[in-house]
Amino acid sequence: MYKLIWHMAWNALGRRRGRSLLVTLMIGASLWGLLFMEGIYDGMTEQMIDNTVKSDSGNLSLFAQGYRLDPSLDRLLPDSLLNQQILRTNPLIKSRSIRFSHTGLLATAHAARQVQIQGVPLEEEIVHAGLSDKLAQGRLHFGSDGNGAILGHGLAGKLRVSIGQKIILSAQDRQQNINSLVLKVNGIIRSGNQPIDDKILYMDIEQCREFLGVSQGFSQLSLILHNPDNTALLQEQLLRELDDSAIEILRWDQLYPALLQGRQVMKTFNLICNLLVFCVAGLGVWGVMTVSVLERLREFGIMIAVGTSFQQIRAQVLLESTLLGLGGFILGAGSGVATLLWFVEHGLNLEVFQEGLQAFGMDTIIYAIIRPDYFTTALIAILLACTASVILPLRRLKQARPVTILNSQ
Amino acid sequence: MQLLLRYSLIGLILFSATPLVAADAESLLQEMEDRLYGDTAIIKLAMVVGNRRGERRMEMESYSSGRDRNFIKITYPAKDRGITFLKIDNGLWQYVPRIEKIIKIPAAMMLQSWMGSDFSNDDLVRESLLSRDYHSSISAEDDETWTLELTARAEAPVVWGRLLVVLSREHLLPLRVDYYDEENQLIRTLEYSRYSEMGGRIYPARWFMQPREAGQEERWTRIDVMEAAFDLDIPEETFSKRALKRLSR
Amino acid sequence: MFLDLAWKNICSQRRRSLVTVLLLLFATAILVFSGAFMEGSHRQMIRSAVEIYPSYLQITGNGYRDEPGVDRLVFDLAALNNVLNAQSEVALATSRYESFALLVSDHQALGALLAAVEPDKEAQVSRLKQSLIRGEYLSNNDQNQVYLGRELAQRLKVDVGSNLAFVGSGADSSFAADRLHVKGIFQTGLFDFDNSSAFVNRTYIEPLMALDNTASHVIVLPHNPDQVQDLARLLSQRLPPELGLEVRSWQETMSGLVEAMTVDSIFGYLTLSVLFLVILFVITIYTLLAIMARTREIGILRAIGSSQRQIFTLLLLEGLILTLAGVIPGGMLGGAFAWYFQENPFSFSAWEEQFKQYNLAVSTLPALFSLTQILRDMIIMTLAALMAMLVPLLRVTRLRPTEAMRHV
Repeated sequence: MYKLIWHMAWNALGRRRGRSLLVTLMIGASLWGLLFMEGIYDGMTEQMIDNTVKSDSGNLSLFAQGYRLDPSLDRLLPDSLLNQQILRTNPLIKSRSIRFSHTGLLATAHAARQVQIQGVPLEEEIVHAGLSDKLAQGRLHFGSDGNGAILGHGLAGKLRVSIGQKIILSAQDRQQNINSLVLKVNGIIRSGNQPIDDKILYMDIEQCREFLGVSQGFSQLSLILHNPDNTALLQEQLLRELDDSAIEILRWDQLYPALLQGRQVMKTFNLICNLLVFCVAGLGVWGVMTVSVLERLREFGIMIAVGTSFQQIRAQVLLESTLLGLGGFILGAGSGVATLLWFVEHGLNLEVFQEGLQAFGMDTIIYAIIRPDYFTTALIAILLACTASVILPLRRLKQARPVTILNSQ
Repeated sequence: MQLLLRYSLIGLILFSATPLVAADAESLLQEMEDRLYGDTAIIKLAMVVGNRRGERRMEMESYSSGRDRNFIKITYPAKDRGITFLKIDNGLWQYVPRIEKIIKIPAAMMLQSWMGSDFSNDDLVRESLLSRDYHSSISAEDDETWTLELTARAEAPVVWGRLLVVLSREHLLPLRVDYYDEENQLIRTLEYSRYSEMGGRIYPARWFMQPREAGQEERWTRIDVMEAAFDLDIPEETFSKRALKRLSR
Repeated sequence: MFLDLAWKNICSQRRRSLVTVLLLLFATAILVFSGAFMEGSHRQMIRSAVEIYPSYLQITGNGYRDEPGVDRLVFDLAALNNVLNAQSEVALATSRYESFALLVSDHQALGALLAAVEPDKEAQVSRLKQSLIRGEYLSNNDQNQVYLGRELAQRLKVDVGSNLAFVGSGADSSFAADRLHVKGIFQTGLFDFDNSSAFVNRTYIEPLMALDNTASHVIVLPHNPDQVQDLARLLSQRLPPELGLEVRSWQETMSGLVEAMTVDSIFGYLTLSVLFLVILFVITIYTLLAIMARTREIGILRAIGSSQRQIFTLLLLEGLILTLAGVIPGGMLGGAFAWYFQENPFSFSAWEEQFKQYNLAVSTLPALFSLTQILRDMIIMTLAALMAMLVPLLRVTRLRPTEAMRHV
């Protein structure tokens, strides 16, 4: 029975090959366009978020109360915090890094710039911030004597320093004295986060504490989770377990609300695009199906006359439109995946717009993202559009009473 | 090769001939600094700053003890009279009578020019001990001078990569210092001249600082030492923050 | 004759006609409005970024922009003003002297930009005055009054009426210091700017900083802001070379922002093109269906002696009528929306934070009503629609009459 319907539907589509092909092509092309757009835009958004999360906020960050408003060397988190059971063994946490931040002045014989000093345990920071991917020049090492430094590439550019060069760091220590220290540029990073690229100087945290006259403590504990969806959960756990009003525990989206907003805007935007595109595509299918049903009124009349039920005819028409949709889906999804995979691998190179993109914290090479829900959303939308498109033609078929048509012709 | 031989020969001869030369570059440098700064020094000086628009003269009194304590009072022009500076170790404070405030110069201002000269606040604070911050060696010499080549010690917080100090044999005082950056590019030159007797010793009465970087050729700073006294007792009081205001008048 | 026939055909194929017209109407309206909105909002973003402080056209000493310093000032302000005043294109010119100074409160000493401005003129070239949130803006007679950015005031822990002091240096690099009273506090929304800028009246600070006849910037307001690039070129030629000056329009001083907006437009149009792709496909499909339904009729026409060209013209005319029936009201609809939102800009108060993070201080975004853009978009749409119809049209005209007549 089903085999018969399948057979008839297939034949019907085949009879008007040009038309069927055009509809399939339409669905395929629009799906391809949508997938490309979604993949690139999401890639862009996620890259921005990822840059910020890794280089600064983590999924969660802990600060001493009041530090963010008034970042002084007296508002530090104690080292003992790191021994807390929940921070050591929590299975949600993928990596953590502590940072010791202060402002200072970095000088060469030619120029001087204000910098954000970031004392870090390098090994942890490399893993945590994914520094290996961000390295633009040199290497990620503070040297055997701990006097190496890693600079943001914007900062290095402004100071005109290169790898191996000597730089002098000055800063006011906790006792309000101005101290100076010689460092050597070991590495230059490009994080994609402009404030960081323009201002950051990474150095060894122990060296940094000694330099600033602080015996223990750190300014920020940044946590990255295995699954970012658990961020709020971990925040709750930490708030409960640490139960310390001297500690502020903030999610990345609390630290950078604009980024979250950006992501939501992008999601809504993608959804609206999907909706619009498939509504219009549905119109196309509707036109084709209407004509193809009306053309075959006589044929359907005969079928009913020989005992075929209306349900069977309905199933056949529905199958026809679904086949068209599925064909388009396979075409679009296939070419879309192929295109996106290329951009996942090679990225979309927008170096010509470097200055503009960096102002928005974006990388110049945008790597696409492929999410399964692109395809499920599209498939559902296509199936809905195809189903909806045969409702009217079928109703007309039913009203037309095939027998009358047979007689009239 | 011949040249090299001749130089090493001269070196050998000098080495054995003059007892002073037997001392290495390090001691020469030490001696030079002692003679230049003394244990304590009270100096009256004029600082003239020139640029493409003309020149500007300031006068001041400077009291120093060792290399890490320095008190300076501006005496001319009238509008700046009474501005005082105190440098203790690595801190720099300033008192401005017009605003009646003692200000600690923050790190961010350290590289700003000091009183509009080609010296920075940082030069003042870190008026570093050459003998402490640099390795030295004699790189050349003739009948009148030694040229010392100073390279920054690895741990010394100085921006320069290398200094060339031309030292007068006669006075054991500097004639010229060339400041090079790490890429061996000449950044500025400081020349000492007009040697004359002051405060019981021979002393360079004129110091001339000339930036050498592109675009700064028209700038210069000249220091004319008017009076100097060395190794006198300066009251401890002078090097305290209270003195900033008290001695301002 | 053709027209009558075409019209009859359009009426007889109501579904195709309706869908085609409506889709084109919708597409044109969207294209026109999106274009107007993108252009308008980008202009607004750039405008507010430009107008907050940098302003449309800056004149500085040669090389000052790359490396500010007292060696690279405008050294003969009077001479420059003379030249500027003689230009009919210049509406207003005002000077600024920017320097880096230490601001000292009872709690804090912070380095900041201390700029001397001509208060009345400055109010016309930048949004400094409009950004006032507490106290008062500067006046031309002010003595030691200072106008502070909000975040800077917070860091210094001062408010309107508080005392402050500055320590800095003058145009001759001489030492300059004085007490200041906080007269007003401003907030432009640009965090970096509000966090590090302070303004004083130029006539007050002139003697203290020995400004004489110098300035770090001269800001020029053109009569027609759209022609600022031309004016910049013109001034570059007309300014005597011995003054050693450099003229920059905002397109150059803010090239990063301009570029960011271009990127945004490109992505915007890319998105629209996906939607248009599917719309044009649908138009192609409907044209194809319409023509197939009439294959027989076309065969008869051919048989009674119409030439291929005549039939093609007839079909094309039908298409053109449909296209225009969609595109013209679509353009008008889009234009109406553009007009409405030009007069009543979108309010994005919820997005303000996001904009600020990118140093864009805007809370409303208008569309830009531009006839040229609307006409351009309508022409593009018309051509695209005709292209979409062409494929099936060409196919049908190739049919031979006998073949077509046999067609059911």
